[in-house]
Amino acid sequence: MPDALREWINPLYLEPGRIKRLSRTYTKAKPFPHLSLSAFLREGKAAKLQKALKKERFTRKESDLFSLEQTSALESSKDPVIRGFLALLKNKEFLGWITTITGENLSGEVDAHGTRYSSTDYLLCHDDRLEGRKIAYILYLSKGFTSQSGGALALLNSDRKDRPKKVKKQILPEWNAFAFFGVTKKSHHMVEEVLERKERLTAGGWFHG
Amino acid sequence: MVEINSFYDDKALLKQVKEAFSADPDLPAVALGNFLSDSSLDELDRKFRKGWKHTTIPDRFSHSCKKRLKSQDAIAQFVKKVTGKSPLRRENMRLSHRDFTILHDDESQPAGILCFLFLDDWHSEWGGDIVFTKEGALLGRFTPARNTLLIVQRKKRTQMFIKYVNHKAKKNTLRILSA
Repeated sequence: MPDALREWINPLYLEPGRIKRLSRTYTKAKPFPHLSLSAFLREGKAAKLQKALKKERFTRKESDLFSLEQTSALESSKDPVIRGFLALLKNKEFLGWITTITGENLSGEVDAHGTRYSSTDYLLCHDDRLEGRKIAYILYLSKGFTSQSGGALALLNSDRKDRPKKVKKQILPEWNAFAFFGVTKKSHHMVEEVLERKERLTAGGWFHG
Repeated sequence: MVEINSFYDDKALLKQVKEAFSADPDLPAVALGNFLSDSSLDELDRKFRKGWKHTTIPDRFSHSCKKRLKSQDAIAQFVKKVTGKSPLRRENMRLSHRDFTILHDDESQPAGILCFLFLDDWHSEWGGDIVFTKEGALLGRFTPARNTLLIVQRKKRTQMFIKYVNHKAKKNTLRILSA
């Protein structure tokens, strides 16, 4: 494995046998293919990235669909840690790792931004579909969230016409977990309202195809 | 029939209401406080405590509905006096924690007169604001208040949604009667 991947990612996730198992888990996941990997980055890298992201400027955004704060595209950040993280996301070997697990061919174009949800913030149900988006990803950079805190990523199943039905899985925003899923007409998801005085910080976006 | 407070019969006041309604050409709107008599408000309060049916379509809305009463015709008649037009008929709605409505690009909302009679005290920080947008731009945002009638003319390409009700609302419910 190249140095960039070894430098950033927990080596457990780079073992060939493990990657095959992850691919099977991703494909079979319900209600639609997804994966959430605990302790994804090396601990030191996750801590540095969290610190760097907190220094970025967040702007409050409100609509019918969401209430949250977001950075502009992280591409514009001058912070060396954030630039290193973006370089990882665009690294050929890393894109190959994602492709091996998901089966999706990726172009190398990657969107990334920081998002912060405070108490009462939320993102209602949507499917993320927009031209070019293949895989949505979220790296969780907050500590102390429990099932009572809210802020879970909720995945919904679909009816025969691909309309969302019910929440079938909740992924808690666990420190340094990396979640990703294929963007399709079935990828209905939402971020449940944050119910406590906590900040749910993430770096996330989409890998394009 | 519900009883509207008698001062809304005053011609000078009605003229002011009409002027206020027409002030914003993009979003004609007026909010009238202390709208119903105390006895009428109490009666509606009782009649709309129970019998609501909750529905959730996750990417569209989550709220409860209850059919309108014949006695709500008086509200429609008053709205016609102000606007010169009959209001669009909608079911009465009730929202509580986790309820919302979402806009949809593939669904244009009909132009016309909308009215909302709020039965409950409310705070903006709970969510539940009535929001009007046009092509993504905010046109107006109204916070519900007990016994206030909000009249709005929704023009073409204008859309309305109700902001997600958050946990700060606790057990409070927001009941919105139509005309």
